[in-house]
Amino acid sequence: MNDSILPNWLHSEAFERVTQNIAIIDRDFRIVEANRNFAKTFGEWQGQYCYKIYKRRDTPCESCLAMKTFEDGKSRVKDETGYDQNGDFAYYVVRTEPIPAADGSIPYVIEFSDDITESQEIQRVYHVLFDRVPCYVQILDRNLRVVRANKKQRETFGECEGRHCHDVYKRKSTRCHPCPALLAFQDGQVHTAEHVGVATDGREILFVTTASPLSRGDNQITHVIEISMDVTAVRTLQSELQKANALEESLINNSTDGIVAFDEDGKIMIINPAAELILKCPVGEAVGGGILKDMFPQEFQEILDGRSADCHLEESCVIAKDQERIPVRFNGVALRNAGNSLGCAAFFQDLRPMKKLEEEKLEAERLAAVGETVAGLAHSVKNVLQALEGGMYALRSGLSQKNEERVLKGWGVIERNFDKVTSLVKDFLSFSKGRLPETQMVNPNELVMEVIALYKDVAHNAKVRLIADLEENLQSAPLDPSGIHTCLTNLLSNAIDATVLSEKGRGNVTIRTREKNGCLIFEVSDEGCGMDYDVKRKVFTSFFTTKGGGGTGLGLLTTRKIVQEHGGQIVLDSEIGQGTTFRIELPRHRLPSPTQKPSDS
Amino acid sequence: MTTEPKKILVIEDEEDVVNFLKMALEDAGYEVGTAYDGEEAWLRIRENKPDLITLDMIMPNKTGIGLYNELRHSPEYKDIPIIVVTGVDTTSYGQMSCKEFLEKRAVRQPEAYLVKPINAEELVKTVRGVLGE
Repeated sequence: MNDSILPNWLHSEAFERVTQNIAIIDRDFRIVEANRNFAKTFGEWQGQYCYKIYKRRDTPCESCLAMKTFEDGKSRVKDETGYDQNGDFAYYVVRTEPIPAADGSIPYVIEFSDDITESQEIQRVYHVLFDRVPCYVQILDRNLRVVRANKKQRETFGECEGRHCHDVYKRKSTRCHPCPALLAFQDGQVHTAEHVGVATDGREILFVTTASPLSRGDNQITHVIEISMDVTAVRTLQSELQKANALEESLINNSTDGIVAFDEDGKIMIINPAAELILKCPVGEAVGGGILKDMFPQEFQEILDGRSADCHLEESCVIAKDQERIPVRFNGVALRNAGNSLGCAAFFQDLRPMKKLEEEKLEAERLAAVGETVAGLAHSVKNVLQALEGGMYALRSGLSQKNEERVLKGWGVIERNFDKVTSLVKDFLSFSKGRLPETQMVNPNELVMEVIALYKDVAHNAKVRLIADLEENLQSAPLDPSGIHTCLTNLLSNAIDATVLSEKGRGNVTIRTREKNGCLIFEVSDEGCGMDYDVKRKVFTSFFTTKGGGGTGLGLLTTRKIVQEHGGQIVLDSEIGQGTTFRIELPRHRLPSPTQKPSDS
Repeated sequence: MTTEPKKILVIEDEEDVVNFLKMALEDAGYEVGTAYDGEEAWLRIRENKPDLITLDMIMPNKTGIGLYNELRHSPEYKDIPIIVVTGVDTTSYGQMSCKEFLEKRAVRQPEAYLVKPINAEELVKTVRGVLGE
């Protein structure tokens, strides 16, 4: 029984179980039998000609394998192209075998076909990939000779086949170290290395090579495929970026200005040594974002919060870790890249050295003024002494000559010069008194109004009209009220005198207050006689006076001294016959800090 | 002595000082003219050439040094003896005092210096010395 199973199975089943497509055709090329696989691939075949089924032709093919096999009885193999049952192009391999009859004739031919469309397609893709991939691709044999290279490699390094890889890439006759291909041959693993090659046009090319072993089924590695990525551009960019970073870092680190940068969340990204020094944060010790709110000016908080884009503070302060207020020039800016916020940065210059210099300069100016004053005082006293000497001579000689006129004349000189010494000493005391101004926050306009009230009657009697031209909304400033008061009364009384001494003998005197470029300005202008060059030149020198015996020459000197103590300067503008303007300029940032609270006064 | 009194020009801007010098020199028998500044001084010198000049170094309009140099460079008046009167020797001429300045720069030194305050006796003695009396 069992003996019949196998022939039966072969007869009835094998035909269908074979994975190939099978068709049997007669001498008219009509398909007389075919298996299920054939039908699956090519569709309904019953009663059809093979050329109709395979190729959709109406006549037999020119180079028909079956026809030849019918003729000579030999089996044949050939790659064919045709259409599947859906009309799609198909690749297949066909083998034809004769089915001979007993008489030796061949009535049928059996055709076995394999659909290789897919593998053909893979091969095509592989070819495209091999040539078009933007890398250098080569296949090496065990002698490290190039078996195949892709188009990009051939275009860059020239024809490669048969040459050693090191010759192709680097034009050298010895192997590279490390050689990823050799390593791949040795251990069957993928290896990577970076190399510098030379193109046919002499360009240096940086590339990263990955060598992968290729093996047949028996694990014997026969070839290695090397895929090399050109990283010249990347490396150039990398090195440029590195350079830019190094430059930026050294600029930031060597800046004498403090630089701190924050990310969007307010966390510190950069803090340079100068900033650590100014803020007194030891190197590397992180400053928490939380306490920054108290370290930087309010204007910067608004940038941190995204409410403002930048701030430039000529004079502000940061608060160091030990709570010291450090005066700084402060710039804050929001950092943006193509519209995206990157955080913000603070730049601040420590103003302490400058402040110190300014103080020293102020002190030097004060000392110079004191020196001038002492010299001037000596001069003035000598003149008074000389006059007294003369008075005494007149008195003495008048008495001995019984010349009453001479006695009276001498007595007059002595009296006048006695008064002069008295007022000189008074002025000098006020000049030398209290070198440091006692400042408090005061409204400059109020000071002016006080002085005007004081001089109302004097001015009225002198036929002078006092005009107050005050800037509205003037900010309070730390001033020594009695000092500025003295300055304004000195200038005002000078202006009234100048008006009285002018040809008209009457006119306006204007006191002005202004705020300009961070500078608080007081101006006193008269329409009086004006000054010539010589008087202008001497006006601030000690004990100079044009008022004869009426002045000590200390008024303007005292005024200048007080103005200097406030860090300011006094300038004068005068034309003969046109009047005179004295201008006190007090830069607010140079004003001393208040020594008293306003409530103390 | 019946000779004519010698003429002295006092150049000085302080009225009290001018009056004193004039009085003291007149008491000593000199004819005294006065000038309050350089311009007036030239007027007086031209109308009545003095035998001696006292010159205060700090004056308005023209500095004493300026006037001193003009006199010393003037062919007609360069030989008039000059007594330079200084108040305090301040550093008015660069880093130099008036005396130092004259010693370094003047074509001819003043015949004498008088430093304020001057008393009458000293004044007359100096004037007599310069005039060779």
